[in-house]
Amino acid sequence: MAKEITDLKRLEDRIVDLSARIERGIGAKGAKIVPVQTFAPEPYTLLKPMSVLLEDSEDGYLASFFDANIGTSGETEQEAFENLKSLVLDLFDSLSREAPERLGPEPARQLAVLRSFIRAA
Amino acid sequence: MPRRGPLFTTADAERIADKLEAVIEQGRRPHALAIVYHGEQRIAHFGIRRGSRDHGYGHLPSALHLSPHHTRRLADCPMSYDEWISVMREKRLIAEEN
Repeated sequence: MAKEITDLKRLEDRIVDLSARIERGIGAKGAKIVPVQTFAPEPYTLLKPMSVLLEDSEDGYLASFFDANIGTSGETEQEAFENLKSLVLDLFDSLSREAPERLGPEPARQLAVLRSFIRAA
Repeated sequence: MPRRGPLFTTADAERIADKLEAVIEQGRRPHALAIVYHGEQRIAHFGIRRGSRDHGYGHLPSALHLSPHHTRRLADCPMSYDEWISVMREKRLIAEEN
């Protein structure tokens, strides 16, 4: 019984530690949060900081913009990051071209989020 | 620790795009957008990345609002288009006409 209690306490400590690391934006080994500073040379203005989560994956790196549920990948961190910016702009343009009444709940939400971060110059 | 779970490839993404009758829209390199409509309503979309490597679709489950397991089922045929639509309705990701 004493051993089980000790094991549980260790697990609890580990959970607290991992939660703290996630809150600091560190997460699991290999994951980090990188801010988007610019979309240059594309003609778009960034209205407020955009955070991208970069993570190791089995075969490269994943880049995610969680607010708008957008993700992609690349062979390197830099490639994944640039691919994500490219995809964000593709979706911003594509959703903006769509008639509002044709957008389902999630695409409408994504467009609203993107418009709060991006403006076409 | 790298993320574990089923790996998804360009072939999986393309099979899913076919099954969901997605409209393909060319974007900036390297992506094409696969856009899924239900009737007149756009309900989901995901990027298909053209490149030399055939992995890196860890984002696909999230874009399809499915678990990795169910995304694998969608790619490999056990899950049908109608079953996926049912999941989307349950999650209220399809606006119903009044």
